Amino acid sequence: MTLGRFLAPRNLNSDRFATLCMVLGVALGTATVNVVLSLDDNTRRVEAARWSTNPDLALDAGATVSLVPVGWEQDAKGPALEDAREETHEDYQVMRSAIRLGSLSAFLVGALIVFFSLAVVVEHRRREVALLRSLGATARQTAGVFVREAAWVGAIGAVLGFALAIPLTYVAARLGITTTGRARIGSIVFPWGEMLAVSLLGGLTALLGVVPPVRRILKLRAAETLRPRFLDADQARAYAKRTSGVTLVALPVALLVYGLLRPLFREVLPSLAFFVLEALLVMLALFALLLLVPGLTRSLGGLLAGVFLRGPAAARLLVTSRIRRQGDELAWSVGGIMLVFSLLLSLHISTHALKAEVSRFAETALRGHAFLFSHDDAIPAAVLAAIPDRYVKVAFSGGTPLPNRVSAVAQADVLRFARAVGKPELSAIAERFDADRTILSTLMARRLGISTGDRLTLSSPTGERTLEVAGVTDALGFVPTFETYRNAKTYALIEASNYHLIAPFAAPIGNAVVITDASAEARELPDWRELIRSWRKGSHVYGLSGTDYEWMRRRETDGDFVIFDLILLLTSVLAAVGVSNQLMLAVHARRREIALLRVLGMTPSQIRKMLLLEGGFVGLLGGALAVLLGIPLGFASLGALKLVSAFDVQFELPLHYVVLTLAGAVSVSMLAALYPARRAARAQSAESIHYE
Amino acid sequence: MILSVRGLTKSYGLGEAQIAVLRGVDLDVGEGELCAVMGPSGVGKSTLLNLVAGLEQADAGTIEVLGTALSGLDDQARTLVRRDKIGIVYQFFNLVSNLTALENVLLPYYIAEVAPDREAASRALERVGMAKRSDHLPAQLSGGEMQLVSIARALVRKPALVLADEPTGNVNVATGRRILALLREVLKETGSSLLMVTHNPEDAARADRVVFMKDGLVPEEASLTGDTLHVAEIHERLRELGI
Repeated sequence: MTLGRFLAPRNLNSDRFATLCMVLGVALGTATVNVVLSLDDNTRRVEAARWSTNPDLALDAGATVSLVPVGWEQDAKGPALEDAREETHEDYQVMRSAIRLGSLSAFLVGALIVFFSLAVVVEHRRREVALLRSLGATARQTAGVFVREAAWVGAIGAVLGFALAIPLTYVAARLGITTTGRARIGSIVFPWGEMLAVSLLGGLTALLGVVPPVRRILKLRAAETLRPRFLDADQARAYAKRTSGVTLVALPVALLVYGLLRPLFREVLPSLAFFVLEALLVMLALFALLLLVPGLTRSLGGLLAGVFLRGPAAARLLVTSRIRRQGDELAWSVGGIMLVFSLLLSLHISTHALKAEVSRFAETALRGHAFLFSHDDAIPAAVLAAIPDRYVKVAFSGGTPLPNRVSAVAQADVLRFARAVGKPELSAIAERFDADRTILSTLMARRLGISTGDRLTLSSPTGERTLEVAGVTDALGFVPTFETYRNAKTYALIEASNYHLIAPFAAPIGNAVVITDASAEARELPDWRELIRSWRKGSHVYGLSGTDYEWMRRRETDGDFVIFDLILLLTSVLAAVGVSNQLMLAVHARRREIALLRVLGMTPSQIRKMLLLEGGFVGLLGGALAVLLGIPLGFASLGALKLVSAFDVQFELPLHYVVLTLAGAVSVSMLAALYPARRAARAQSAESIHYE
Repeated sequence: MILSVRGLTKSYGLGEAQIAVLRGVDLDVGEGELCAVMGPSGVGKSTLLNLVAGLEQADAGTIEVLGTALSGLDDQARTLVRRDKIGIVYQFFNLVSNLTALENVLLPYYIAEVAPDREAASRALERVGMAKRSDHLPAQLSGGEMQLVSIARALVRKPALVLADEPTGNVNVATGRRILALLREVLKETGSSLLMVTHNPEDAARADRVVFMKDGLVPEEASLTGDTLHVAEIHERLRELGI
């Protein structure tokens, strides 16, 4: 039997908790990536029939009208179509890329646990290694023991990560979690090959993680190591990762270089490639920031500890001193918590901004209005007659198919509607609107690159007409559709007399009716719900209030991002495992110190409180750093969103997000500290104190 | 009487076998008395110290520290007795590594959750000659210096009883002598009693009384008492006892 085969299982068994944490690190990290891959693959499969989520699906230029700004030299139908395709798919691909990259956070935290644990576990065995060497074990034999341990951890973690992904994917799909947030996955087809590759990579992290500590430990001088030692902390400090001056300078310099080159990249690269580049750079920056955490833990941590730590005096003194002087030992946990909660904060800043954007749009185009649709060509006259006269009713034709959604409406109706809304600027646009003019939504104008006064040519099999843009607004002519949010907001209006131009593709005027109350100042029509109920009685007509549509879109935005919550939930579990593991290893390394404190009169309860305080502090500092990092990260995410999605998202930081980030980080850390604290309080002091 | 031990027994399980370490120890330490315990390795000296400190529980027998019987007390209560009445010095220096020398000396106040007496801590450090090193971390101190700090910490709250487990076991001879001389001086000043386990006859000679442990017992007739004990006397008694 080789030395490795003899010792490795025994070592893994004696460090059971660390082994368990490492296995969980690999397993949960790989499982998260595997779940995301599976959900993404299945979402794509389900949505393959939809043009908006399948870039390979051809768009039939002849299936809708053509809108070409006057002056464009390109092929009459090509550019607008391709632009629509590109921007629609960019939204989807950016989301997919963000989700896939997001799942790396779990993989990263898992890998951090493995690297940290192996570093500490190997370091704890310095004397054992020295003893083995003094007994004649070769360097290769000694290294073989650790490599075998890492291989076991990697293999078990990879298998678990592979297996765990299967039920997790089923549960997520059952809960309606998908890459688009809207697809409903029925039967699941697993991408076995990709999952296997991810699991193998997960397993490989364990093998890679053991390389640095083993290289270090093989350089030790056995005789020196075997001399009595008096301070565990001296040994513990050996693995402390310190930031060098180079790291501190490299980060701002790299940021500066990128900042200078960014416009060039934006110009040269397609949006998706640019987004992926930026996302990768953010990941790299997060890695780099992790290197700064030890220093921050000591300095900022010392400061925070002095202000915020409460509890028994001895526990306060000990925890504060430990943070100020050995803070780098806590840095891995602080870094993990920081990473997870900064991503969570930035994610929620993004969703909040998107929902605020929906609300702003609703304020403009939805609130106070109601919408009536027909499944057939037109809403029956009887239904319209039943609507009280005090309401302004505007009849629209159906819209032409994507990407060039055009509806027809009578100018007089638009004008009445604009006047009812009570905004002079809308009335001005409505007054200009006629058979030679068109009204464009903001996104349609942006897509075509034109504005008020410019001209475009609308052509279809039934004719062609050049129209001047009477105005660009979202407050006139929006009729809810259940397309993607961007496509629903991208439309043009033409005057009813031009309906013949869109007739081959769009239902007649009267297919949809927008209703508003000319007299009321209320944001919602007073008897609106009752009206909707009455319309639903007719099977071919259905109604929807603007507020309901806004609510649906806000809920969809939540749904779009719920997969990130899943990823970050799993990452939070991993962060808790990491904190627990770090504290357990620290309890082990400090067993003599804890025993000494017991000898000096600390009660088990005081010891427990001290460890909980330390755990809570890791959370507080990690949370504080997460807020500091999450805010710029959220800001950057919104920048990317603006860039690729053209949504007018605005940065806003609700105060309760900061409080929740801090509270979440502290809670996760304190929960993670419960078990180590219990173990520390139960430690037998009499034995530990005598032997080093 | 500061410490009174009667019929103390303690066994340890080793698989199915039970090894009796203490077989009925009787021992008294009077007020201000410095008592050294000598004996071969494994005879139970450290076990005796652990039991007196309340770190372990005896199988039978009684221990009274300043009239408080430790037997029957739970871990929490024994901890409070240790905290308030006993100071401890170990062979390995046992300073908290991330606290400065002064903070280490102040630690007993924090643990007892009483207002830390910085003046007393500074005086204690000054008394052991470590005032100038009060802001140093243990890693910046030599072995002997660390031991002096741990003596200051053991004495800072003026415990009635100090327990020392081979306090010079890990320092060179000259430093050991200095430490013991200082320990004796300080204890005589504070009036604290000392129960010290040692292998070193020279250390034991600085005590008021030396008791010898053999076969898990402390035969009273074998103890040496006197104002000035001589190393040769102790060697002689060890030889007589076959230790």
